[in-house]
Amino acid sequence: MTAIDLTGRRALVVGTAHDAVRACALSLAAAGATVVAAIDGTADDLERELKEAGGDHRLVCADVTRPDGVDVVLEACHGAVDIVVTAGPTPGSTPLAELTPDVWRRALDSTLTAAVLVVRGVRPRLAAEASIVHIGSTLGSRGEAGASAGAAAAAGLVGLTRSLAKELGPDGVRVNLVAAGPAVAAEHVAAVVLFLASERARGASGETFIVDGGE
Amino acid sequence: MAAYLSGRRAVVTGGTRGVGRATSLALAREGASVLACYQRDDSAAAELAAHDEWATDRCHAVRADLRTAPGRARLVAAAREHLGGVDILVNNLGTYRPAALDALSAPDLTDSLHDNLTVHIVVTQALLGLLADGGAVVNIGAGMADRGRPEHVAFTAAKAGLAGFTRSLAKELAPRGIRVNTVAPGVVETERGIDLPPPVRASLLSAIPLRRFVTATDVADVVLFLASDLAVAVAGATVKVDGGI
Repeated sequence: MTAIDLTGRRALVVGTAHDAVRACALSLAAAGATVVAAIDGTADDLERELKEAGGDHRLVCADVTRPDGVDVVLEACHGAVDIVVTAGPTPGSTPLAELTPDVWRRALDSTLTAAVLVVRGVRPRLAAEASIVHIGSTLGSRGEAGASAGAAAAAGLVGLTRSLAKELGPDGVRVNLVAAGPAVAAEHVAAVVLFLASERARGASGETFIVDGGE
Repeated sequence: MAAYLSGRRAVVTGGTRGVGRATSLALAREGASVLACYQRDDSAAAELAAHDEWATDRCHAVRADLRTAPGRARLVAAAREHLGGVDILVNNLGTYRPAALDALSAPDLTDSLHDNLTVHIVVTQALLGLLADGGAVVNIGAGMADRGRPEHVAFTAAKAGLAGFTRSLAKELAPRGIRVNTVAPGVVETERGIDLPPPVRASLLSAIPLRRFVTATDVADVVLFLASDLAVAVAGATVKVDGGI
């Protein structure tokens, strides 16, 4: 049983991680929020599930690593936004020798650039006491052989989150980060996102919530 | 909003004042059975019991000095009698007596380390047999343990120690499905307000991004989250509730 009630709240869930976007979009919708989910590619299953959830949810296809992709997402949102969730990709493994500038740029773009562009784009539409939740990875603090790009991007989200919390805090906007461990189910990550999106987390901002089962 | 901790059995140490009081009340509101332990302030316990959500069929208070073995035995006996078992243990009690290092007496240092760290370890140890599989332990730390603060050497050393206790116990109890986490609050406004001179208050406030002090209820809501199924994959973590400092 969940005590999180998001009835009347408008949520935007964007990202490249299909599982995370899907789990967050569905749990926010189940808690009563109206959801716009955006993913780069097709997601027929999610489109069907959002329809089944009832309510005025939408799914759009957009590449939010580019400003014009963010514009597409914002066009799908009507009015103000209370909840913003960004989910970068699950970091892949690329040994240093294969870490070309392109691979490096893609890793940072899909995580950091996307998060910044989305928040920058949605900023004028944020409702009072809005909550922003970035989903990243414990890789940023753990590190892993062959994962330097993903780890750098994940660590970058910590600084991004802390700075945005300080910048947007005076307007009542909270910004937090969920750092997911490699073995954690998307549903369990979404449960923490749900809490952070709610007013129950009203005292928490600029914080990294590690969700790794204690490993 | 549906109660999400219905049927859970909770013990809160230092449970009649400040963050402990807010946690006891929030647990009661969310349907849990609650045993609030307090050291000596009977009037605070009476005030707690006067709240509507303090349902007398499932909410109790016990007076016991948990720094002593007989006091801990008293808590264990009360938990067995009133709850039968423990699903949620909130290690909250603590003492707060700032002192500069050159003014910190040996007995005060010992007390501060004991009352803010050791006691949580021995209370958890005493209740271990009653702690149910799948349960949760939530310790109350302090945001300043991470940042440091003048005249808080003993307090922050003890509170920082909770992070290690949390991480190790989380690994030790993981096979039983018991999750252990710590909530580290910033400057907290309790039912007694904030006891600070106005200039200090103003300068502290301007350092908090959300431009307000965290309330004891704000902290309690994060404690409840960590105790709930929403946090099923959160263990060994220390979570700050400080308005973004």
